Amino acid sequence: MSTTTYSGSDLQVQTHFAPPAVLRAACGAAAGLIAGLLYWVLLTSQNVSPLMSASDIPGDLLVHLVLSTLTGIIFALTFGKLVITPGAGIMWGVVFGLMWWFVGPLTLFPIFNGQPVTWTIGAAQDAFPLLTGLAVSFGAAMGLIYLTLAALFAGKLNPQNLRNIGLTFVGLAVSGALAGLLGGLVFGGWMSRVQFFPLVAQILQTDSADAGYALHILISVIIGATFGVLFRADIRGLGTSIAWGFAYGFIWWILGALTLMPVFLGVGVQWSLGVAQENFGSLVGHIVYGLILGLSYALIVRTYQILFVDSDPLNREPEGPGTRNVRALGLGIIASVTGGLAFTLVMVATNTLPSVAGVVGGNAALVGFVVHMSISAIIGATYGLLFQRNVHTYGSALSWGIVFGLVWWFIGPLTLMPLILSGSLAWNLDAATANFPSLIGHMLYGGFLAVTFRWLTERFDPVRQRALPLNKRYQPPQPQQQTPTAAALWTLTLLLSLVLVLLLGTGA
Amino acid sequence: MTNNNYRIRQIIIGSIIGILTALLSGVAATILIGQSAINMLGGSDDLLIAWLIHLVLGAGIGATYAYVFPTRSDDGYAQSTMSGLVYGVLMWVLLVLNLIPLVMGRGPQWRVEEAVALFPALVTYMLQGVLLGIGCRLVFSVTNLSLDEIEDEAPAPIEVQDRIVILGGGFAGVELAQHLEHYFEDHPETEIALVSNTNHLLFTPMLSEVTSGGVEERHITPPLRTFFKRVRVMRGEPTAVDFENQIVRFATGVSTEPSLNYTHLVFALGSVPNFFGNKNIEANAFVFKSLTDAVDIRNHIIDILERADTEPDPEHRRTLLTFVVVGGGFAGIELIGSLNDLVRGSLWYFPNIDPEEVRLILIHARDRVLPELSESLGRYAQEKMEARGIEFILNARASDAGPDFLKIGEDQVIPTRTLIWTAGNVPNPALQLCGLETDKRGAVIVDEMLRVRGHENVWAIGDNAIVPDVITGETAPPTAQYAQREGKTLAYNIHALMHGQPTKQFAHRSQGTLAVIGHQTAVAEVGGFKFSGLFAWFMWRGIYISKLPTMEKRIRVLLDWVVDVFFPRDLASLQTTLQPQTPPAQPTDRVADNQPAVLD
Ligand SMILES: Cc1cc2nc3c(=O)[nH]c(=O)nc-3n(C[C@H](O)[C@H](O)[C@H](O)COP(=O)(O)OP(=O)(O)OC[C@H]3O[C@@H](n4cnc5c(N)ncnc54)[C@H](O)[C@@H]3O)c2cc1C
Repeated sequence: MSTTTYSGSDLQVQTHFAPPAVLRAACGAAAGLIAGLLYWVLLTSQNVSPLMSASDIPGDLLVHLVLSTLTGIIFALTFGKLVITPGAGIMWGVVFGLMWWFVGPLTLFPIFNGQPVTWTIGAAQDAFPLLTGLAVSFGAAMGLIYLTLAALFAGKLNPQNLRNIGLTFVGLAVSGALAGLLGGLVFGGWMSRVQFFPLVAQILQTDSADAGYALHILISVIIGATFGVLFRADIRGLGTSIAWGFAYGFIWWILGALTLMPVFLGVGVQWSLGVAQENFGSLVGHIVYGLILGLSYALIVRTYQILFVDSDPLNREPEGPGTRNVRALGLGIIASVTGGLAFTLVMVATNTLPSVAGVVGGNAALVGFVVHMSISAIIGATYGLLFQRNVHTYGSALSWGIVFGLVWWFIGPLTLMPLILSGSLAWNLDAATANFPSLIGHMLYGGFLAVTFRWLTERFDPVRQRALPLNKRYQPPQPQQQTPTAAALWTLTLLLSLVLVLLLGTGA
Repeated sequence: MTNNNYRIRQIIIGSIIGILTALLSGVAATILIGQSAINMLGGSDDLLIAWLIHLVLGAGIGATYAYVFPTRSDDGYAQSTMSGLVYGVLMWVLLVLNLIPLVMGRGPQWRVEEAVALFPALVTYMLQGVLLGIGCRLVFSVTNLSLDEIEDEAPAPIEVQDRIVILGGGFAGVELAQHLEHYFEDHPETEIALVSNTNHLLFTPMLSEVTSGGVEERHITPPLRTFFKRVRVMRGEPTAVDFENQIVRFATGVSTEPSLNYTHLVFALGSVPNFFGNKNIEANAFVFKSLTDAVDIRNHIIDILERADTEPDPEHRRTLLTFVVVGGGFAGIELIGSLNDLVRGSLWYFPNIDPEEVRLILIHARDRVLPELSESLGRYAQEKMEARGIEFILNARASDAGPDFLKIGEDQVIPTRTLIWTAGNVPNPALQLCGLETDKRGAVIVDEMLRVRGHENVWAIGDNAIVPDVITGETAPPTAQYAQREGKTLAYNIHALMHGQPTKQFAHRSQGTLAVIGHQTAVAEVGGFKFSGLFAWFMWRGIYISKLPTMEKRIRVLLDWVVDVFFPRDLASLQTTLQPQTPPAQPTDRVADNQPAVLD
């Protein structure tokens, strides 16, 4: 097993888990085969062949299983080393599944079937059921199964040395469960408004809304608990935790709303584009749930650490959190100017500034601009505060910035803005379609903000400081070293925005 | 390999790989989708131009990718693939949705339908990104251009070739050191050493608030070590300078007294209180210059109040409750203002003291206080302070003092147990100790470049130097503002000299002066405008808190101020032993046997 350790006050990061290639390939093959079967079984209710062939060719299953086994091997050889925790297994699995969707259903399968490759939105929408299926029931399942097998046979994966955050598994699960409860309460508010609970209650064979509510809360708590356990190694701070929650919420939308619930209700998985579009409100709900889950989980764990875990007197930061946080806040605000201006371009082009002015009861574009820049500044400050340790390179700053921008698309125009302006949520397809330019605006905002922030904070970069002659004995505060799973998270969020394009594509 | 070199090579290689991947993805798109894909990617209907644009963009994408995602050798291909993919999608948003349409005069494509129509380009870009990620990772690991190649390079031990020694860590010295640090950022072989006899910078403008208890003493003394990145800080006092061999020796209290060779030597030792030879005053007066002075005065005042509260004899009580400050400059005015606040603000807790018995007296040798400010402002300050119960005795000279009295001129005697001396300052006598030539006040005379007369590489700034200001034609006043400006100019000059560039003359136009004269009121003169009162006070606080070094201290002082607004005066005296009671002697019995002091 090769490991890389970054020494720091409380973190020992093991970034790679590498059993011999042959063993990995074998585990990957088995995982691909099992996950492929699962995927096939679930897909039967959808009337779609996993190979997208028009007719029912009996040999399809065989070809599909061979292909699954092969992709499993490829997965193991490419991403296998990075799968060091169950959370990493799920994330890389989902990402791999989504990527395979581009390669297989969008490119290779049409060729096999003698059809032209178009790479158009229409083709992508036709293949939507496979996207949903490949992401979770194939990808995530494969990642998890692969990790289980590899750990079983290689036998050396010891989660204990991943990172000591002073909490046992039970503690992590309880923190996650508490956070999940909070998220569930918020999500539940929307669900009761759209009369969703009787539907949930049907799983228990009743239609009592209370039973549905109870079940919903139970599920929220369980998902929260798994979040804590699965991503314990990856969650490094408040900001990244929000992003993890975000991605996890998305995965559970596919897994819960589109897969498990219909299966429990006896109608088989519902992966078609139409159903997904009908469930758009639930998607936003899951994502908001995930955001709250991520934030509160990190807060709970942080509070626990502050209160009960001994700090390390030798590695105390010379600056102290006061200086650092105030600086991050200030630089975040300054950095928000470029992001805010970039976003303003989108707003001018789509003429939405007047409606932003509505937040303060006005309707002039200039008022809207001022409101917009003020909101930008606040969000910029939170970016600085939340992600100050994650801007070690321009790349990671940029990636987190875009994820953060995307997160705010859900919080801002779909949730808070309509709440303030009309007192109701806009968790529906029409609102989202209308706000599509704003999605691009948000991502632009996040990107510009992050790059500027990184540029502004470069002077304080620990790596640079270490090079100063006087500081040779001084260990600078460690940047929060990404676990390799972070890359999967970034990819997943970007792919999520593609899914959004697909969902909104016909709504327009 | 230096950081820059490495970056440039990385970017060049990145752009080459970028072109190749653009070529590959373009070919793939042509085969799979057809020519229209290239038209979409290049944003032009002319196939050749579209290809060209696509390839040029590819180079740009590759170059920026290499810069934005510097790879580490342990990153692994999967991670690079992902970062490439992410980057590809980003570039699609930036280029295909925004830039290309903009340049082609079509306006950005932000609506769903438009984005959807450009979907094929997205897939191409994703492919291109993946290839780019893999390609860069491959080439960088083969060519040893990964990030850790430079990160892990241990910083080479640096040999000191030149050393700039700064004596004195006050406003002038610290400002100089900070600017030198900046100028010599890329020259670690030039050492900057700062030697001072205190380990902190004393923020004198807030010293009077320490006396009144509004601000904690530690909060205005940022330790020197904390705000430099590479300046070498030493606590010590210079004992001798060998100008010939360029060596300065120190007393530091360690087993072997150290010495430093210097390339440039700077004197910034500030000033010390001066009693003009009047031994009686010197023996009986407090001075107000250092942190300990402020703390001593505060303890003493509280102690006096405690005593007065139990003193039965009215005569003695009046002596105790008379507080005298000599000197009406900044320090004296600010001090007596804050003493007034402290004493009168605390009387509530001392029920046996009659407010009528309290006297605070400021004695000044000229006919108006605050000579640093304009006349009308000085008068205003005096009026305000008189309204607050401070007595002024102007045009008066202290001539003698004892434990319980102060004598003014020939015959006026004020019974008091509190005498604070802020009337005279002279340049630090350590200058003469070091063998520098000084004027009769003891100050070093420097030229417009701040260089000490008769020396090539010896300089002096701040209160210990007589600095000609080319703008006013006069000598620079002894204020913190000027000290800092001199530090800044000198940093420039030393750097210029060491790099064969022309030096510049010291020229500074005062940005304004401010002085607090009591609770929530100040006087100010900024840019020719005079104002006073609450606004000036807010301004004083705003300006000075921003000048206080280090964020930590700023926040602490801010908190002190906030607490001071909401909570009662802190009356803890740090004096833990009871002072023996000396019976007040009859002032008139004393014979003034020393010369009258010359003030200001
Ligand atoms: C109470 C008070 C209030 C003031 N208020 C204001 C104001 O409001 N605004 C304003 O502009 N100015 C004000 N001043 C004046 C201002 O403080 C000085 O002009 C300024 O400090 C001059 O800076 P400097 O660096 O020359 O000397 P200083 O700041 O005095 O620094 C001298 C340094 O040398 C060190 N040192 C001294 N002797 C030795 C030795 N033998 N060996 C080694 N090190 C030594 C000292 O520790 C100190 O660090 C005030 C002064 C006082 C005393």
